Amino acid sequence: MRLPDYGLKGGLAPEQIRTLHEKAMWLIETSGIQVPHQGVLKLLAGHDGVRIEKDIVRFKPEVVLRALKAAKYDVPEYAKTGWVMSAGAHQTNCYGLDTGRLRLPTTQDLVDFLKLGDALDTVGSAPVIPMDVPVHLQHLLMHKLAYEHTRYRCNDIYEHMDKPSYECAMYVREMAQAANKRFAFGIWMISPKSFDERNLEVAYRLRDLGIPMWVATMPQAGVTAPITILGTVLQSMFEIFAGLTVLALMNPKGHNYISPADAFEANTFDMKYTTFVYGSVEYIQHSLHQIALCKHYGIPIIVKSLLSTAKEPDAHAAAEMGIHTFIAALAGARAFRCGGLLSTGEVYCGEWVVILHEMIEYIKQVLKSEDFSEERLMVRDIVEVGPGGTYVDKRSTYELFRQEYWTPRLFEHSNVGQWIELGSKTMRQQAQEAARRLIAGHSYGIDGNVKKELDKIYERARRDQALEKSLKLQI
Amino acid sequence: MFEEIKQAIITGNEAQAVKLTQALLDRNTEPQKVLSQGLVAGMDVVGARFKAYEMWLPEVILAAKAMKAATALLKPYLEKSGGSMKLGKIVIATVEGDVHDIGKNLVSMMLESAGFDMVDLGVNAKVSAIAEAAVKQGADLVGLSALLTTTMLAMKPAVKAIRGASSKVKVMVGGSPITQEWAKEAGADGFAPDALRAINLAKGLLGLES
Repeated sequence: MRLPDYGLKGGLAPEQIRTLHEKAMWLIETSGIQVPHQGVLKLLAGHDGVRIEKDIVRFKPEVVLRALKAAKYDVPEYAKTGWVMSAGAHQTNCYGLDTGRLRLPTTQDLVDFLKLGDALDTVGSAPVIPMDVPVHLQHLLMHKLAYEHTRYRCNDIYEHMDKPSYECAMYVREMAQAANKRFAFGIWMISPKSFDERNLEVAYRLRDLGIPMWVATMPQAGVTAPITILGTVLQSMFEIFAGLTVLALMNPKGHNYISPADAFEANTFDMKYTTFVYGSVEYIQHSLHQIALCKHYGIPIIVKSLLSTAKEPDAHAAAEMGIHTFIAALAGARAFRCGGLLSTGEVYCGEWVVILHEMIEYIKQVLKSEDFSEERLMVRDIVEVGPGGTYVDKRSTYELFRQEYWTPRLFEHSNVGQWIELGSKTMRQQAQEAARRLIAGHSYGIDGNVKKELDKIYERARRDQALEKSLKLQI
Repeated sequence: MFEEIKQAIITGNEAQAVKLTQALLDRNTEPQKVLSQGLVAGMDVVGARFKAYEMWLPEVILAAKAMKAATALLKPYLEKSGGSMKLGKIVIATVEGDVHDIGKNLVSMMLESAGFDMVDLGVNAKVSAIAEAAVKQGADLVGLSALLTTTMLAMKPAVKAIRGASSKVKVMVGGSPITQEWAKEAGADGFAPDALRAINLAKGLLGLES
C-alpha cells in the first residue's frame, strides 16, 4: 500500500473555468483580433464561421472549438514519466563560468551552456545568443550547435526558438532535416489582440510545407491586458484560442498547437520599476491558473517557475524559484522552465542551472511516493534496541541508509567544521566547479557526416546576402 | 591472507574477519603482524574513505564491529607475546548540564575501533568528576562533548580542572556548536568537527602516527 500523493487544494473551479471559456469564446466572436496581413486575411476569408471587417477577424465558437480539438501535442517520451527542466531561452547576457562576471555571451559560452544543459538532461531552446557572430547567423548557429551538442534542445514542443525571417527559417529547417531534428514555427500574438506582421509573413510563406506551428501570447497585466491576473488570463485565453484558429485555417497541412511554454501566459508588470515581474506572488498565482487550464484543455504543463527578478544567483532567486516550483509541483506540474535565467530573463547563469537541477531533484524527492507497510514500520528493530542503545549498527540501517535518504550533489549536509576543512566554498563556487566538471565530462555528439552537412549549410548561409538582408530589414 | 583480512574489515564482514584472524593465529603468525598488517591496515582504508566521504557511518560502524570482534580474539595472544593493541587511554564525557550523547558515543566507538582504550563517563558529567577520572584512569587524553551553546560553556571550567589535576593529559573538544576558535578560548588542545577527525586529532595530540 502506498501513501496517497500530495496535492494542492483550491484554485480555479470547473464552473469558473467554464465561465472563462465562455467569455473567451464571446470575445473572439464579438471583439475579434487584428490580422495585419493581407495574404492571411484572404486565406481566412473563404471559411465558414469567419467574419472579417477590414483587418479585424471574428470567429464563431464552433470554428474555434474545431481548432482546439484538432490541436496536437507531441509530448516527448522523456516527459511522459520523468520530471522536465527547460533551461535558458536565447539570452543576450550571461555570467561567465570562468569569471563569474556579467558579459555578452560568445559562441564558446553557447557551446559550454549547451553541454552543461545536456549533461543535466535539460530541454528547451538554446540558452544564449552568441553575440560574437553577425546577427543574421546567430539563430542559425544556436540551432546548429544545439543539434550538435544536445539530445533534446531545439527538438520538441518545449522549444520556442525564433526564426526571425523566412530565409532564416528555411536554413534552420534544412539543418533540422539534416540532423533529423524536429522543426516547428511559432507565431506570437502581440497583446492586445494583434500579431507581428513580419512574423505572420514568415508563417504565411511556410504554410504549404506541412510543418507544425504553434501560437503564444504574453499579455502584461495593467499595460497590454487588464490589471487583474484573472482578466489577463482571460485575455491570454482569448488571444491564443483566436491565434490557434488562425493557424488551423492557414496551415491545414501541418498540425497546430498552443505553445505549452507560454500557454495562458499572463505576465505581471511592476509599475514602480516598469519591468516584467517573474517570480512574484501574483505570477505564482497565475501559474496555478495556468496549470488548471492546461489540465482542462489537455495541454502539456510546463510552468515558468525558474524565474525571478533576482539579479544574481542568491537567496532572492532561490526563495522565489523554490517556492514557485514547489507549489507548482504540488498542483501537478512536472515540467519547469527558464532554468538559469536571472533578472526576469535578461541574464543567463550556468551555475544557477546546476543549483536549480538540485532544487528540482530535492522537490522530486519530497513528493516521491512511499510504501506504507509493516516492514517499513520496523517494529522489530524498535523492540530489539533497548534504552540508551543505538540503531546505527543495525543491519537494517546498513542495508537501507543509502536508499532511504536522498544524497544531494550540492546541498551538502556537512557541519561548519567539515565545510571549513573542505575549503569554505560558497554554494556558487561549488556550483561553478560542478558546472565545469559536467561540461568537461559531457560526451554527446552527432555523427561526423551529419556535422559536415550542418557545416556546409551554415557556410552557405554565411555567404547568403538574401539572409543577411532579410534580417537587416528588421533591424 | 593479510589482504583478505583487510578486505573483511573494509566490507564489515565480521564473521570473515574473525575466521581469518583465527586461521592466522592457528598458523602461529605473530599477533602484532595480524593486528598491524591485517586489521589496522583495513581500518586505515576505512578511515581514509570515510574522510573522503566515500564510506558512510553505518559502513564504518560495521567495519569497526568486525575490527572489535577480531581484536577480541587477538587480545590474549598479544598480551602473551608482550605486545599491545592500545594506542592510549581516553576519558570521554558530555559536559555538565548536557544530556546529548549521540555524537559523543560515535566518537567513542570510532576511537575504540581505532585502538584506543575508552572510558566513557556518560552525559551530564561534573567538572570535578571528569578531572578525577582523568587522573584515576591514567588517561592520556580527555574528550569533551556538548550540543548546546549554553552547555558548551562548561567546557572551560572542565579544561581548567583537568589542567589543575594533571599537566600531562591532553584535552580535545567537539560538538555541534564547537569551533576551532571556541576550543582555543576554552583552553583545549584541539577540536574535531566529526568522529573520524577525532581519531586523527587524538593520534596527533598523542604524537602517534595519524
